[in-house]
Amino acid sequence: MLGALLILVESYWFFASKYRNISDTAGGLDGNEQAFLFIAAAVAATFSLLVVSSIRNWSMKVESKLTGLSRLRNSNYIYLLLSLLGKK
Amino acid sequence: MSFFKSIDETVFLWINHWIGTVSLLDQFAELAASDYFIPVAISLVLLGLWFSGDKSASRTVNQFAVISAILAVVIANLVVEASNEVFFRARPYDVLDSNVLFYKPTDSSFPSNPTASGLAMALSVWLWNKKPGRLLIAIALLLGIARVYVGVCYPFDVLGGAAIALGAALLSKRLLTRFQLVPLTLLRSARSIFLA
Repeated sequence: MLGALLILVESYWFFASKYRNISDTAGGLDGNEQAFLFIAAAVAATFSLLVVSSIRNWSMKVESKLTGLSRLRNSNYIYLLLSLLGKK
Repeated sequence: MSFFKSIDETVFLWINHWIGTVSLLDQFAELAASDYFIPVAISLVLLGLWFSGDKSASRTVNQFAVISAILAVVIANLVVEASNEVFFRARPYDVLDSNVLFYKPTDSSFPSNPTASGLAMALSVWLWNKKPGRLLIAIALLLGIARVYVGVCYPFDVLGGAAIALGAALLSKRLLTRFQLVPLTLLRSARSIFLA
């Protein structure tokens, strides 16, 4: 709910703060720049979320036979990464 | 040919003449036609789709849909670029006495690049997972219609973009199904660091 609200508020701020319909030949972003910025922002947001949720759920350190993303159901991300590095 | 051109221009002028009638509709169309609003909204849905799915199998289908959407948008853009090299159609505001609510792009009007990109992603997702696909198709179609309303594209430009999008989505799914090893390796790598 908070995430959806944040997206709405940020979208409103983005479009209300400045006129955004500008051609890429007149200072606007072109498609490639936009794709690059979106990917960079998505990666940054995902890692921020993983770090914050790991700190918040620091006590969740359960070993399980689940794989991939499913392991985050009962362990925090930093713990999983550290145990992965410890195994190598 | 002139028959289709005449239909295209008539439909365009009918849609475009509503500009200035309802201020809220103008503002909404300007937002929907923006280079940022709908493309970013579709990309956010794709990002959410990557992580969604209760079971590993359903998540894998969603992740295939996301990879397919990315591949389809690349294919659609290449086709549009190639088409722009050999074919140029002037924008409606250069030819007709019409209203414009947007900046004036200088590239070819046909095919509609934003429609091709948006619908390529939407149709790709729909081919793998119908429910989010339907939502994305509706959003992408809104982008196409809004581009006609604000005066930068003809209806046939949008249809041309949609045809390219359909071809790109089908090709993308076919390629992913045929060369499954590439997406599966990507997913295995992402799974090894708990990101898929």
